[in-house]
Amino acid sequence: MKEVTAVNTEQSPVSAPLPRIADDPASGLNARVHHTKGSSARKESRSPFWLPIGFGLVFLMIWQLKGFHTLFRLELYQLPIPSSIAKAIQANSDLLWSYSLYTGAEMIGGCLIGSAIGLFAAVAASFGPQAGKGAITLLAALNAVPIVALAPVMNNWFGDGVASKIAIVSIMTMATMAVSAYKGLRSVEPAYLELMHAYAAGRFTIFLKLRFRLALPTIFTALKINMATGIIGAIVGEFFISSRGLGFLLSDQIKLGNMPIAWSCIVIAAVLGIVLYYCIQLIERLAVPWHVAQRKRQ
Amino acid sequence: MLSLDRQRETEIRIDDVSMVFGRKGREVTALSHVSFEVYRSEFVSLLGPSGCGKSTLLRLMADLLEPTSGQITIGEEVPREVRLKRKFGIVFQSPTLFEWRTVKDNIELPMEVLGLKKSEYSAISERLIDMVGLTKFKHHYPWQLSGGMQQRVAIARALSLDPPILLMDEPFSALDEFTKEKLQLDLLDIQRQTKKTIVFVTHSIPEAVFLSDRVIVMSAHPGRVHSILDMEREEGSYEQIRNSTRFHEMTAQVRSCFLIRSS
Repeated sequence: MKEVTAVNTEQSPVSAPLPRIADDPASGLNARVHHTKGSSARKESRSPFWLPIGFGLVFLMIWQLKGFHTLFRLELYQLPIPSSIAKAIQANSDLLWSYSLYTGAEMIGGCLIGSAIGLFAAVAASFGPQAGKGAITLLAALNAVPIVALAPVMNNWFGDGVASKIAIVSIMTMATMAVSAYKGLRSVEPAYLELMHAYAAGRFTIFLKLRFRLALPTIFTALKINMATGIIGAIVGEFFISSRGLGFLLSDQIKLGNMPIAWSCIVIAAVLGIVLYYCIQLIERLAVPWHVAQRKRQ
Repeated sequence: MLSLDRQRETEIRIDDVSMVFGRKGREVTALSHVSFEVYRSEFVSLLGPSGCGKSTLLRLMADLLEPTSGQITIGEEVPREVRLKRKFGIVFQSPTLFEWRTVKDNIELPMEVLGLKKSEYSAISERLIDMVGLTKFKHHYPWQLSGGMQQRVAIARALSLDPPILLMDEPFSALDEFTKEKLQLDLLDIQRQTKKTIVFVTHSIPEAVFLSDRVIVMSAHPGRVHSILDMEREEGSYEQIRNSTRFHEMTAQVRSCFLIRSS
């Protein structure tokens, strides 16, 4: 637009890096005043890419050189150093791999089932908010049930295999999804609803074209939280009764005082959590590229 | 008095409409016994201070609210029928664009809701994008556009089903003065081309005078029609019109409605 371009040229002598803006492929097309801001924001978001890796390496180094042992007065059998954990992982790689798959299946299965139930409840509630709100509050009460109470009950119901852990994780995750998805589905600005009414859109169309799209970011946030909750649920579930899995191995080896193997379970559980978190992050990026948090200057 | 000589055909009839909000004991009267008519292809402004019920009145015409008493007829029909037949387009103060849709997809929303096929409406949206001057930006997302451009998208979207009536609720009040002037001129152009009946809510006296065939001046607490004034549309550039004696006379005439009230 002419008027916007005019403002832009007026501002350019003030803002410092003129040639950089001209190089920006977007600035020709997208005549926005914000562009000087945009290029600096991009610089900020790019530079810290190596930072977490650097911090991680420093952390591992201090650990390896027994910095934490000196600091907290720990012995090697209490906190094994990274190299001995790595050796333990290497020596038991087959067992750890199969147990990781086992526990991973429990948490992903439980997380998906729980989230699906929660999402379904939120969608149903959003169509009848008067009764729905109460139902969601009731479901949210599930969040208050402590896992140490839940785990033995579920083991009692569904046996000591995968099913009971999936049940534990499902119950732990459904409330989070239900509450956040419901909130996302209901928080629509009145003007948007008026717009849809003005075009005689039915409730189902409003759900599909407006509510669900607006709820997607909160749904993904709930999924990410649920993945982390899922790991806790699966591992603590295995603590009580089980004969396989990372949680079983962890509690078993702690009792035996075999700390390097116990710590390798902890490390693998953490890696599992990080990998799944980024998987969901990636899907989110593809599904809601329009959201403020996902925007990249083109 | 050009608009008086014109053949007047009533498009919207507001007949003794009152609107009361709130529960018993705590009622707020937003509109009290409002009556007027809007003629076909006419540009009418509802002008008044906040609380005069002008936005409420627009929402009643759009069937987003129902009047407590009185009747509104559009053509021969009640607002609900008109809404279900999608015979009006609406523009709000905020552009209310869907962030996940491009300019083109936003404009196509009403046609999509109606259930038309992409092949049927693609050409229509292309034409509207050209009309509001956003050809280069049709694949951009709302957050990549300035406020003025976003409001252009909203206007194009309101025109997408080619409705005979356009309802606009302070569409330019959030825009800067330069963008506002440009969009006012564009809107007049669009009305000249399309012959739409436009009901335009505003609290700006110059804006109402500049755009309208008639200005309906409203007063607040309770909201009612203070007076209905005929405007004269002059030919000439924006500057010429704005600086003309006639424009200043009309502005003064409208402003005097408010002065009498406060003295």
